[in-house]
This record gives sequence, structure tokens and C-alpha cells, in this order.
Amino acid sequence: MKLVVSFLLRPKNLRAIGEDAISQMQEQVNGMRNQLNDLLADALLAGETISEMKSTLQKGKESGKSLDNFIKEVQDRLGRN
Amino acid sequence: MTDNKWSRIVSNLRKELFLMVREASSIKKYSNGLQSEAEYLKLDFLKYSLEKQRKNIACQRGLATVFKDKKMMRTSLFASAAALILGGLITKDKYAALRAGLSGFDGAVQGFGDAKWAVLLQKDLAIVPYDAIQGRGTWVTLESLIESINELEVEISRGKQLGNLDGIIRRVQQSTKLISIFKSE
Repeated sequence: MKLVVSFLLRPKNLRAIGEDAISQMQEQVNGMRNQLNDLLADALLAGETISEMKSTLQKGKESGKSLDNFIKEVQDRLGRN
Repeated sequence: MTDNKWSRIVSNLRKELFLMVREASSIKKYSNGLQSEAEYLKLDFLKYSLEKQRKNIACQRGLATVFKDKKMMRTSLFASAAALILGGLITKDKYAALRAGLSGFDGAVQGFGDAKWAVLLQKDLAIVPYDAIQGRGTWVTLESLIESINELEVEISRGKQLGNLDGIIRRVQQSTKLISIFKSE
């Protein structure tokens, strides 16, 4: 056991272990960054679609009001004669 | 947090977002469809109102003619009685027969008041028979007006909004199908 620990604690080996760990962490961070980027792109698309949906719904409401007003207008303007 | 757990959370979040996008798109599509339907309804309502007004005036004119002319009165009563008897024979239901009789009378009366019709496209819309056109204004034939209104359906299918009655009248006035009537004073 002592032999293994003394082997690992040699400066050359320590550096190799450190570099390996850093490289693994770097790989993980890159993976997470890519996943986050995809998630962010999806969230942006969802936000855009929801905002379009809200604006379409608003137009739908206005369209309903416009139809009501149109019916009143026709009844009023055609009924006067 | 382990790498697997992180991936699972991200994957679940993306699935949720995908479902949200799908729902929002379907609601948007549905709402767009409703908007188009509302525009089509405007045209249908305008045509229905013109036709209703035309029938009312035809009926009034027909009644006036019937009361003036005894022979016509006999014809319309005969039409009504015939429809009543036929209605009774076919349906064996006195109310249905009565309805048939009344609609036969109504049809006969309207027939007597029938004429060619003109519409005044101004602030107050007016629908009158050709022989009752009075005063100046943009008079057009009813048939050509209906055709021009029908043409607007193409614009709706392209996603256009027709707006209010004046907007529709403006669009109709640009139609090549619209036939104006020039009344000599």
C-alpha cells in the first residue's frame, strides 16, 4: 500500500492524474454546456411560439368583437330603411 | 449531481418544452381558423340580411298587389290551400300542413312582389326594386353585389381581415363584377 501511495505521490504522476481529472471535468462541462445550449434553444422557441399564440388569441378576441360590431352595424344601417 | 441525473433532468425539461410548443401551435392554428370563420360569417350575415330585407319588401309589394287585384288574391289563396291539402296528405300532420299552406301563401305573395333589385351603397344601405329607385347615389344590382361579396371569400382564404361594413363596401366597389345602375332623371 505504502508503495502504491509513494508511487502516486511522485510529482510526475501527480501531474498526470491532475491533468486526466481536468480533462474529464472539461469533457463533462462541455457536455453540460451543449445540453444547456439545446435547452436554451428549445426554451427560446417555446417562448416565441407562446408569444405568437398570445398575440393570435388577442387577435381572435378582437375578431369576435369586430363580428359583433359588424352584425350591429348591418342591422342598424339596413334596418333604417 | 451525477452526469446521468443531470442528463435526465435536461431531457425531461426539453420534453416539457416540446409539448408546450406543440400545444401553443395547435391553439394558434385553432384561433386563426376561428378568425377566418368570423370573416366568412360577416359575408354570410350581410348576404342573409340583404336577402331578408329583399323578401320583406317583396312580401309588402306582393300584398299590396294582391289586395289591389282580386284575381291575384284568388291565385295566392289557391296556392295556399293547395299546399295545405298536399301538406296534410303527405305528412298527415295538421301543423305541418298549416306551415306548408302558410309558406305557399307567403311564396305566392312574394312572387307577385318580385322584381329586379337594386342596392344603394351609402351610409344607409337600401334595397329596392328597380322601379322604386329614387334620388342619386351608388345604386348597384343585387345579383352583382352578391357576386362581388362572394369574391371576397378568396381574400379571406388568403388570411385578410375585411374590417367593418365600410371596409367591405370599399372592397366590393373595386370588384369588376359589380354592375352600377345609372338612373336617368
